[in-house]
Amino acid sequence: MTVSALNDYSVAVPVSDGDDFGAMLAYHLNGAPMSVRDKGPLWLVYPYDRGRDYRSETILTRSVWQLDRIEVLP
Amino acid sequence: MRAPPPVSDTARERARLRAADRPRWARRLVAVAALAAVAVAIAVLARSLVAKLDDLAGTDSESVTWTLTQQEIEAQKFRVATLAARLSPDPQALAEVRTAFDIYYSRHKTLMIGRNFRTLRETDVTADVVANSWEKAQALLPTIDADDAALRAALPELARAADEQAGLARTIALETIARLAVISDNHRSRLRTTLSYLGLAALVLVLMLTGVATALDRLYRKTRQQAHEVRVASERLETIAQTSLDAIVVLDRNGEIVEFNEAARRIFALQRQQVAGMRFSELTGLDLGELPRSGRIETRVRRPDGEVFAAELSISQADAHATAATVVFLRNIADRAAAEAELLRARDDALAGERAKARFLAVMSHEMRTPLNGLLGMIELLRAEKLGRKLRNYVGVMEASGRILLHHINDVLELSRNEAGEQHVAVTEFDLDLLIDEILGLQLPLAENSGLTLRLEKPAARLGTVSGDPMRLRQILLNLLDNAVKFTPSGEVTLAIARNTDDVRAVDFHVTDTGPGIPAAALDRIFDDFVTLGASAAPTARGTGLGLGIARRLAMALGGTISVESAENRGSQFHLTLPLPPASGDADGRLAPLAGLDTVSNPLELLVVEDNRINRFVLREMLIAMGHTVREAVDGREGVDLARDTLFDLIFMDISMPNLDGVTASRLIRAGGASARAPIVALTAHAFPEELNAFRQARIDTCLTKPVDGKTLRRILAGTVEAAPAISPEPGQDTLAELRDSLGDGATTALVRRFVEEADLELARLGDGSRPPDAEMAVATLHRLAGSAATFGAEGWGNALRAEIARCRSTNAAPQAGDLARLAEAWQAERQRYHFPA
Repeated sequence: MTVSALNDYSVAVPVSDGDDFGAMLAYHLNGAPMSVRDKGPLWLVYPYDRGRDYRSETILTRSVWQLDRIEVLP
Repeated sequence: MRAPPPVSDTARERARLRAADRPRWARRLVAVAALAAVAVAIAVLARSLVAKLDDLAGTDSESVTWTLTQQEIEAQKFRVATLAARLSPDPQALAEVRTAFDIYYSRHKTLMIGRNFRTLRETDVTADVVANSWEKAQALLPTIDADDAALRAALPELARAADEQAGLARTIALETIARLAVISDNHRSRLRTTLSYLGLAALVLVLMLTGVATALDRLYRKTRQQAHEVRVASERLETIAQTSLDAIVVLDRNGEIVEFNEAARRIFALQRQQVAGMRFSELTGLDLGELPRSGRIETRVRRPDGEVFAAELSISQADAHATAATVVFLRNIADRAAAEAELLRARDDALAGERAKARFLAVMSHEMRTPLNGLLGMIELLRAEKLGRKLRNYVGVMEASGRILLHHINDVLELSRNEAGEQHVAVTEFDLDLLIDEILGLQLPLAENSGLTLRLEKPAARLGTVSGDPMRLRQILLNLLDNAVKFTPSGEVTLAIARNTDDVRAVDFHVTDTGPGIPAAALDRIFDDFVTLGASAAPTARGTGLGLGIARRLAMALGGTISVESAENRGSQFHLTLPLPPASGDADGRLAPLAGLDTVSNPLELLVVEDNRINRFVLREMLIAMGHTVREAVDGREGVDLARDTLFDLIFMDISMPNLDGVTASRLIRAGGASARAPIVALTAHAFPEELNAFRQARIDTCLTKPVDGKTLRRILAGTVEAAPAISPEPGQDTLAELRDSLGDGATTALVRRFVEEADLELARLGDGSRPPDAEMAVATLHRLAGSAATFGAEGWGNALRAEIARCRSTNAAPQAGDLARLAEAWQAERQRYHFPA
């Protein structure tokens, strides 16, 4: 799937990242919906504290903030 | 028995090996440590390199640059949105201004709180710019959050602010990039240094590994070379062992066979596999423990198949390190031993043949001599017959030829006797002057027949009685003179005699002729047997060629020398030197005055006629000891002559004498002369009645039966004895003790020795009967023995002798083998008395 941000940043993310790396979509910050100024409305995050593999360049490029579009590719 | 191995040596050896090992061991440790250190260094450097690479590849600087670039882009997007909203009245444009501001604001906020941007926030150059930018962005918040109208009104101001924000963002980005470039350069420089160290360490490691590889390679080559040398040496040894003609057997310390070569297989007729595990004792039948630990030995060896052969073993111990072994070289010497035995047998056969030949020669010569003597005797009788002149000549030639033949036979007999070692030298005292006269007398007719002059040259003084072997001397001189006369056609032959000037005990004889001489080439062998020189010299005189050889042998046997000087046509001169010391009897032979015999007041002049030397000596010494003067005659003839010229007070007359017996001599003395009226005392070993009758007829006053004892002698000389037919010694007297009393111990012992030796000799001469002796000679011998026996009181022996004499006379035959054996037995029994070793 292709994930895009408000500023048109876009990156391809395999759907399997959810299973393999525990990727998840964040939509609240401290119990409140995230504004654009707080990198909202959505942010694709990974559990970075699990190890080096979760902080690799590839993972970091997939961690898209101010996410507003997800296009699932065939 | 095995000696313990030399422990101390082994220990020393091990210590030496350990000492040699220590540096190698230490070197190896150092090399390993160095390699480990280099490896550790490489590991540390590699790890550091990985860390630095991580730094270099770290996301920080790149993401910072990225973020700052995005920040600038978002600022530009915010300014563009602002400019677009001023140109469009559409409220949508204002919404886009707000979104662009929010995006830009969120990025700026990240810059202000993000961990990655702390350096950015706190570094002097950028800190103020960042803080200033953030303050101005926050100041815009009320304007953005106001309603559309207010926002639209503020758009120009907002556009200026957005422009300013974009400028600030660019400044931050440029400053940060410059700073990061410096940091990146530092990182690279450190990386290069680390890489250099790593490369250096790798280089060192490679060099070290190369060194190790080289050392290993050298070690490998050396080992291979040594292995090759060992193999070559071992192959050479193997070849030597296999081509050796001697069996080589190597045994371990338990005596089991370890090595066995080709020759050993051949000698023991075994295969290699049969030998495996066999013990030395099973192989050879020898116990290794009984053999020397090293050295050579000849012994007999029993093969496993039972065959025994003579072998020579050479044993040695190889104590190389822990594997003690015995090496045995074994050689089959059966052939050699057989050859030696064969050689010995051949030599013995040859010697036996040689002896048989000599014996045959001796027997033949002897057998030939007997009939020849018969012939010569008949010829002599023939000469006495009246013969015509012609026949007389024939007989003369026959006799001459017979004599020559006899001479040759005697030569050969003498030679074979010498060869057989039967060369007796009988030393006695004899008158040398008389002997020389006799020899010349014998040789004179021959010389005169040949027309030669025979001359004698000798000192004016008599040579006197000497001690030596007269028979041998006579033989030598006769041979030399015979030779000279035979080979000298004309001129003279001279015999010169003188005491040796250097050695007074020796006498020189020179036989000189004027013959053809001897060629120089023949001088060396002139004394060899069967040497005859060219016939031209004396065509008619040929000999056996033995004369000079015999002469030389005899001279050597007597302790003398013989030599020759000669030149062709200058005659020859033979020199003979013999030890002939003056006889002791001449100078100091008389025994010292004897004790035990009282001397008489009126010394008498006495004559002793006795042929037996010992008896004569005994009687003489007894009489002299009594103070009388004694003259001696060795036979009847001499006795008669002395009695005619000298007046004797009394005459002792032996009855049994050669030439002229005592009875006849007594009759001749009574017939006239100075001592015609002197009392005559007959001496006899036996007084037969018919003899006593003969004594009376010969006017013999008294008959004294031997042995003569001092007491009886004194009675006779004192005149107290009446004329009696016979006086016997007093019964029960010990003759030997009597002799000792009269003559003393030393003289008696010497006399007894002479008596025993003489009897031994005479008996031996009679032989054992295998060759019957001449009857007359035998009786004479027995008579002599009986005479001596009486003097020594050997009664049994004397009786045996007298019985044999009577038997010989009655049968007119020589003693037979049985008789001789009886005599020998009687003599041995008698001999015991004198305690003389056989």
